[in-house]
Amino acid sequence: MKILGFTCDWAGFALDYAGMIRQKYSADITFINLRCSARFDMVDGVQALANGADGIFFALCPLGDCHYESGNHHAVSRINHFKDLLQIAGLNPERIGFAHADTTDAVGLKNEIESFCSKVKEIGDLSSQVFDRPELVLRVAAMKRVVSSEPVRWTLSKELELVRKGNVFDEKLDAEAYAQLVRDLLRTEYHKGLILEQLAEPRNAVEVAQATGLSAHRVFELIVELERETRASFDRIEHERPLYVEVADG
Amino acid sequence: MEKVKIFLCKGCEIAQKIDLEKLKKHFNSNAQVESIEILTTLCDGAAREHLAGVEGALLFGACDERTHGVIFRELAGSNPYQLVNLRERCAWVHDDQTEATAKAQRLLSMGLAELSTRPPDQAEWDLDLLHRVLVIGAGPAGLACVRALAEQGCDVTLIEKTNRLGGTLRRTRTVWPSGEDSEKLLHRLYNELQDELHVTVYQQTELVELTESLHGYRVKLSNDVEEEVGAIVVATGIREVGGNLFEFEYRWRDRGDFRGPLAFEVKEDVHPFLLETALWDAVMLRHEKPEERIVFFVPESVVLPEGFKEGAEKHNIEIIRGSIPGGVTGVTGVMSLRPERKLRVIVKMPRRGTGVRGVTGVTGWRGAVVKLGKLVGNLPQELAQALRIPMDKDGYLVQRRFRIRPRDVVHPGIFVVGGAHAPMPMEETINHAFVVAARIKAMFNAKSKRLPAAQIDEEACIGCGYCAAVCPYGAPILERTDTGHKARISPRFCTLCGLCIAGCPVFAIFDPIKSRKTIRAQIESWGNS
Repeated sequence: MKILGFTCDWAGFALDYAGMIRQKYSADITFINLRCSARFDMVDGVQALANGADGIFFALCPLGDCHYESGNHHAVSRINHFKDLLQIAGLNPERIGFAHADTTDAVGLKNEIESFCSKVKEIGDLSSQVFDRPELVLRVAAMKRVVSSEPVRWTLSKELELVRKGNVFDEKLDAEAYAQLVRDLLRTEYHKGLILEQLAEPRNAVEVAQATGLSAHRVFELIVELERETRASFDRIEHERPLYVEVADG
Repeated sequence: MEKVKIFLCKGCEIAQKIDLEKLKKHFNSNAQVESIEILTTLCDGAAREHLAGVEGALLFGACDERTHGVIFRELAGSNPYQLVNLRERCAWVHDDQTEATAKAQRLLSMGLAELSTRPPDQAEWDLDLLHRVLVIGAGPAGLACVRALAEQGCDVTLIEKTNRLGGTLRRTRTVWPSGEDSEKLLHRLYNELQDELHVTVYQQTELVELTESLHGYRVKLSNDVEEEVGAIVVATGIREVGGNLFEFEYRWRDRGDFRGPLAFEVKEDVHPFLLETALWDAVMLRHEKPEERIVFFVPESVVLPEGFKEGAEKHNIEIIRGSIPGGVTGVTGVMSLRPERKLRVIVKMPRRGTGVRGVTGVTGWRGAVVKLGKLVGNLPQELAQALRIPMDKDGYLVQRRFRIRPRDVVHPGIFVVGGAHAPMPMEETINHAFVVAARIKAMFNAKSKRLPAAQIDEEACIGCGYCAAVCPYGAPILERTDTGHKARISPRFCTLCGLCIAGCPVFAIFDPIKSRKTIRAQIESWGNS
């Protein structure tokens, strides 16, 4: 069992304090210090999954007590969308957990860590169950494409501003509607990512559909969209079927 | 890549819980590691002697940065180093030796990854501030702050918008609640100031522009003076909206006498502070004029402060719930400014019989009326914009982290004192000014380090404005360039929290200390070990 933890500097104090008062917790979890939890980028989360993390845990300041004004609100929003992404990719979103901890709340944080570790242990190893390792690698690769794509990052980053402060017309967008929009975008981008993973070599839509498990209609629809975004291009026609290939970046 | 020397500490139960020899064997075969040594303790003199003259990148496997950080900074000297907390994060929290050793190995390889990917020349920079302060506003808070700062040897520039010093003190009669004469207090503050050599005073001057510089802020004043200062104090005071208590006090002080009954007309949005001050004034008046009628007209919706009713009753001051019968008509402005009319100028002159016969039997009101309204910060919009600090709806600068640092605004080195911070009694204002002066002096004296700011890759930046919108400190600014909008980060305002770094749609912002590369290397080394 391997669990990666991210902690902000201040929740990190609670972690050190837990050591001082000898609060024992599972050795499966190892923490990386970030200055603020808002520094957590979903790219790093996917990187952790690619490196064999069975669970990812976040320790952050209580809401409203962030030492960088509003960082943890942004972090919580990112973490929740990261969970959405896991769900879309067919992984258990319960593998992501977070806890708010005051700098002195060592016991509380220790309890949260313990309960999260035992939960992940219950769910089990990420790669051994449900599907095999190559399938997981594929899914993680697609997720990586999602979290580094510009429209996704832009939509995610703007969420709190548009929902809480309002847009240029001073209209506040509905939080639930926006979250749904983000989920839809994540799903589309994830499917595109899966397709692009298949298009390293020229392939036709039916082959891609078989390899990804998506419907041929959906695959074709997304390939057309990818073509318009100049991320995929038409290669040649073989056996009366058009073949497409990924456009190398930059 | 330079090879790393690892030093592990045996003290504080680390050796009991972690199999250090196993770690030594593991890291000896690592290509990045030059040598690995296990010392009895790293925090004593023996270790210092042992490490004297050691050069190259150092990795310490020991304890907490907060408790022992200074020791390791000394141990490392000018060498780059990384401290891995094997004590609180591993030995003290895990019982099983095998597990703890595995985790220690993970922690050390993560430390190794961080050390080897950290850019060499991105050290923290000294916050070497200029010992010069700009104080905006020459009211009681500003004057007291200037004095306290000048006494401690700071150069102070005091700017005042009007042509006279004193601010609110010039307009009030006595100081609430001590009862000290305002004029005397002003003279005291002013005389103390005159002996100071370090003070420059500019009257009829305002702040025009503020830019950050390496050692503080560069300010441009309306009298074409440009200066570089280490800190800025905003002491612009407060102002009444829809009321005229201050004006009343000023008239009263100026004329020294008043005749006729007096009414205090309380507005619905009255600030409680004004109610208390007004009661204080009413009691003072009562001592001078035992026979005159003094009435507070208080709307039903206003909740009176504790003890207000009792205090009024004791001094025979009436409180009538409701507005002035018939409303206030007649002469505009309560107190005429013409000297011959003095304070008894009539405001309300209802025709016979038109007044509302209230429960108290008052028909109309014949006498002076003082209105008690809202108190707002006396801060022009332009000043708030120049300071790059948002203002709330009542005209006060937005104070973030109010519970943790109640004296500071968002930007380092800008402080708000006195009425501009919140309405407060005069004594508190002056104490507040002293506290801020002490804070500034402490800031100057501390040889504090500041983290480098987040940096922007100009070519990658698409000028979307995300960072400028999201940063709570206003550090990134969008600038128009030949190739479209580009973001620029003000290093003094940046706290390197990473909010913009993680959210940038095109990965154009990076952290000079813990870059994406570092975090990725840490995750990879965690995954591999």
